[in-house]
Amino acid sequence: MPDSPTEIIRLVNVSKGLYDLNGQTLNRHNLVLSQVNFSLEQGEVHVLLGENGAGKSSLVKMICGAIRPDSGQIFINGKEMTANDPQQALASGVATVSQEFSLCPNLTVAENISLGRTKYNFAGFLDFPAMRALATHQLNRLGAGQIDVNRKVKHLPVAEQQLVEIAKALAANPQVLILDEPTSTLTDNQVEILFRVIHALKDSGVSMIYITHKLKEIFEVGDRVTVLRDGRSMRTVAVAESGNIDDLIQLMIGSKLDNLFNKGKHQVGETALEVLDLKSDPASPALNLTVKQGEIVGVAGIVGAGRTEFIRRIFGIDSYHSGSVTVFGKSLPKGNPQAAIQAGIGFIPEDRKRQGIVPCLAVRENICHVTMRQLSRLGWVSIASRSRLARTYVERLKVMASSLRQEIRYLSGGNQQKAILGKWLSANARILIFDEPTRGIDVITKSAIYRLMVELADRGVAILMISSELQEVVGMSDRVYVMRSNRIAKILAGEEINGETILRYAMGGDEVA
Amino acid sequence: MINRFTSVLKAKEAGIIAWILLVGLVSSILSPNFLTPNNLVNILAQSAVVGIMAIGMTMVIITGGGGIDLSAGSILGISSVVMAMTIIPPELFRDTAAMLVLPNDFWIILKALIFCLGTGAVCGFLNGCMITWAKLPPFIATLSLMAAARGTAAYISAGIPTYGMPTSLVYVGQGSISFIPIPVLVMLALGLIVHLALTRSVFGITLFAVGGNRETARFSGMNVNRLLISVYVLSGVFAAIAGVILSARGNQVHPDAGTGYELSAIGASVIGGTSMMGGAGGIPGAILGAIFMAEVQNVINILNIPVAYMKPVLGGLIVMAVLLDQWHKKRDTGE
Repeated sequence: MPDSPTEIIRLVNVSKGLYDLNGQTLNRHNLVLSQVNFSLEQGEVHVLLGENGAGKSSLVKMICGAIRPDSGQIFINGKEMTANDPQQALASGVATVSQEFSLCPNLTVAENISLGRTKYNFAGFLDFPAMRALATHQLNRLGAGQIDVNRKVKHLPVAEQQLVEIAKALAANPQVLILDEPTSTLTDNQVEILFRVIHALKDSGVSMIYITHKLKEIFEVGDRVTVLRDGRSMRTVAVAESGNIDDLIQLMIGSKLDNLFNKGKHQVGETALEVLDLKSDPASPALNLTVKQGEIVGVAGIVGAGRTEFIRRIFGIDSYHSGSVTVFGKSLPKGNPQAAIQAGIGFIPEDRKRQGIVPCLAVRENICHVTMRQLSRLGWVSIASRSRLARTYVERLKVMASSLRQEIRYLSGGNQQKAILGKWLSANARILIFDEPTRGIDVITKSAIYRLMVELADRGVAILMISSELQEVVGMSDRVYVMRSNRIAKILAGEEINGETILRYAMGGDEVA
Repeated sequence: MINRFTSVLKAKEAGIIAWILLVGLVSSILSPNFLTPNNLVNILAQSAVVGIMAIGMTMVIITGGGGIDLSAGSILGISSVVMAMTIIPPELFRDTAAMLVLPNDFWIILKALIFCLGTGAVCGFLNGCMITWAKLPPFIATLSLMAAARGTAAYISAGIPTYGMPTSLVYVGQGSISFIPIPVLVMLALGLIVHLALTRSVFGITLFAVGGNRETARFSGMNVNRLLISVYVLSGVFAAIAGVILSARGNQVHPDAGTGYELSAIGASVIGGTSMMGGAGGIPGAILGAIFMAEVQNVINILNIPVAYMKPVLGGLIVMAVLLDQWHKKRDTGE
């Protein structure tokens, strides 16, 4: 750190309610950020640490001027930011490398990097040589001189897109650089170069906010670290003094009450689902997984650890290179969801609206979509038999709908989720895969869904659950597979299952020693 | 009784029924020739060809994802040419009045009908393959088949129309049972079958699921490609049936027959409440839409309005009907 640190950015008691896409506050009581204090000094790398949904992205958006706080003050270079004006943030030298790339896929690398700093020649036309020179220079700094600046961004692999994104931010000569998980797609070698660039920038006085889920990186580049939890800033410590990684993890999790769960000891039966050496492509790590009847198996990991991709391959939505998926001793063909369903697997997907329901159709039809063949005679299926089936599950799962004919899109997220569950129960699914079972669902329906899951497991259904909510994984699972960068980092069972251990493996704490 | 009445008012076809009645009311005030039994039957008969095509088109549009069949008019053309050439012996191919001398041989006519519908099915299958396996947008796939089928029809018939058909086929186009023209009966029968299939069969439920959300359909284990192919095959077959009716009604087969009819069929579907976004729509609406378009053309004839006005008026009416329908839906859902 420099000898006389000067504060570049200061947030004082900043709060923000739940907001919409435009940053307009929807609900002032449901706080995304609550009384947050944060400061960034010149020439430091300040790491933001927190679980999914802890408020890291909102904090960063506020500094960029994309959203404005409901209360509290933001100072940049000692000057208070008054309006939510991204221009003001830009003018004071804030540049962002975001997870969702801000690149134009149809423009070339050179055009993207010089976007906003477009150069013109004497005739008033775009000065392509100057733009290419700028792009080449910035990419060389990142040791990525091999990237052809004349290629369109959409033709680059993701890792190179990430490097272009970083080069674009560097081209702005920022005073403050925000890096949101910049290494998630990079190779070890690229990460090393990026860290060298970060150290060089630091030496020239640039301040950086660094968001990461990889604990190892905190110690490699961080000066100070601020832990966020449930929208509050828990503590800011100097990395050199933080010492124990477990303290940081403890701060992230806190001690949460989990009376939502009433996990019993399930009677575990024969192996229902077995995945052996599944490789998505020849070079990728082999994945193994088993779920027994009556067992609830959790799959934990940070966003981008490859959980959903893994599960989609098991269900056959995507194909894979080698390995096998076996259901009750019968091997499933690759990339064939119909076969998976016939073998007794049900899939409750993460993106309810796009993969779980047909929004414009009635609750009744949505429930019957898998079972209609069994209901049908010679391809015909009467309305009465569909209504009977749907009513059974609407009543059993207590789906709140005005009628069976109500379009499912008018139901709340929780009731939609129950209807989707009804769809699979009606098909007598013996293996249920839940991907983020309670995302966006209110707490009462949540506990109802947990109860249903336990009830199903008690009746011998094998349950595989992916979740980013730690307390859900801890509260529900008999065993937990922790995934990190497309491999299974650790399998936990029984007493080993707790938030600290899961996070440590999910974030690579075991690598830090 | 009152309940039943209000449920008719609330039905999704209420809008199009109101339009048909409104235009009918205005026309019967303006002309004494409109509200006569003969004229009303005539309107129904006029609507049959487009109505039958609209049944297939409606299913195609319900599949969503830009589903549309621009080749329907050309399929009508090529399949009626194939039918004529199956009936006519090769030595009379170039004789425009060849069919006049043809006997009513049941087996020859049956063979001709099978070849005709088969041609429609093959064309539809080609559409389906281009859309599912080659992943072409339906607009492009069917546009290319529209040109290819029309060109092939002109090639195999040497561009020469054929006049005269076996009398039993002519009866299908021009005869009536009691007072209802046979083309209307064909349209209603096909409409009823498809309507029941859409509401009460695995095929129908799959169609609406795929149209409403293709991803969810896949996650529910539905074979999306097989459904798409069968829907385009059906659209081709319905276009071919429309070709039989058109040839029989006019007692002639022309390689240019049905040009532009695909647009009328799309219009009928959309006026009848089928959403271009997919996932919503129905056969009753499509048939009523076809009847509405026939009614408007009939009124323009009766009132001696210059034919040049006909298409602009139809265009305007399509826009108005769809706007009104959107407004109606918005009010219903309270959005």
